[in-house]
Amino acid sequence: MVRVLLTSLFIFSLAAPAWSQNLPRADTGVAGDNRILLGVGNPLLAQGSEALRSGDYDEGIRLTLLGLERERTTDLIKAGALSNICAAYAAKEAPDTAIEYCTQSIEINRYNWRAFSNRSYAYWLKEMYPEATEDLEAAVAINPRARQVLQIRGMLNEAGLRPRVTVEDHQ
Amino acid sequence: MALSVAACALFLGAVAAHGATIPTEPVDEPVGIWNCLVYGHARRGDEQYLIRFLPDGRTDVSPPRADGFRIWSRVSDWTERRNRLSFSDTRMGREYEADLRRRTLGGSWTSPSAGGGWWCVQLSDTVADDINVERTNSYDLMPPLLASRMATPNYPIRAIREALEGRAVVCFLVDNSGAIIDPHIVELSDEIFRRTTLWAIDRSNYVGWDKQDIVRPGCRSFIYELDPIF
Repeated sequence: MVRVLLTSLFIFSLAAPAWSQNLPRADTGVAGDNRILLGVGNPLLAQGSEALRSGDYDEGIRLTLLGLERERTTDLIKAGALSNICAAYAAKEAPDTAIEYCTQSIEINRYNWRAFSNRSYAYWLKEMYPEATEDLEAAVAINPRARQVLQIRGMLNEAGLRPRVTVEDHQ
Repeated sequence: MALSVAACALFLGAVAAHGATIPTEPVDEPVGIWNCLVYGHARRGDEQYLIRFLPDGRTDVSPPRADGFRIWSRVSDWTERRNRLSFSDTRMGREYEADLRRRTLGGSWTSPSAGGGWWCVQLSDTVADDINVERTNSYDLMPPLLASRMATPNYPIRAIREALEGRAVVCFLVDNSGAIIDPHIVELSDEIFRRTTLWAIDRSNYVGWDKQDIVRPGCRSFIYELDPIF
């Protein structure tokens, strides 16, 4: 149950903003609202993003893949879209597929912390903790204050740290 | 010699008659003889002292000796300022401090190279200050603490997630039934460990002892650590 909740929170907050991450303002033309403009230029990708954000992962994946196929995109937008698909598969607890998409995203854009963060989560699902930690460190290096990064750090700590309490009486 | 024996008998009588009562009010005034546990020195380990605060400000301390005799040694005068008692023991290089708003005397000590805590129960406020040598059985004043039920605290899940390690020390009094009375957290590295530490203390007790009027001080350390698995 806890895992399901964490997954929802994690993906919900990751899916939509990925579009606007690392996009230079010149790409948008409008200050302060990258996502709307991207939606105008890439309606399928924007709808896919919305579907992912609302938790409809299958529809989000379908629309995003369609958008990647049919719409003109920059490399940065493509990397964001691939990262979103990765997040959706992670949310569906299909980490192998998620890792494939995240890796593709990272190959295009090595500065998208969300792709590293999503792949870290996917590795966590597979209990591949050293790989998850490595990706998390990469995400932290890019964006140390991201809430999702802190969340995954907590999940990794929970899995990778064994608590010990020593009790000693003083006589 | 006869005088000394008589003095010993008087002293023991005072201890037996007055013993140590469970305090209900703040200390406020430290004058009297206190049976103290001093902890935290890495090499010396836990120590048991009688500490005597005299009305004129003098302070005497008396560690137990193997032969059972207790010798009072003069240390610095005690001072009280804003509910804080302080005195120093220059031979040991320690500065002692206590919060007089608590129901019993205790606090922390520091030296140039170490630090720790002390916790006491008052024995009697009527013992004459001209007694220099007493013979007391340490066991009578400080029965050993044997855990009857020792609850181990759960490591707070948030502390694991945030990779927080830490330490807490709780000091208290123990009555002859072995019950823990009036616990105080005297050291706490992070607030996150407070609740679980007190939870564990609340569910712990000791093996009691026969002497009904003996209440002794005790302290328990909790060290919270995380070991990496991978």
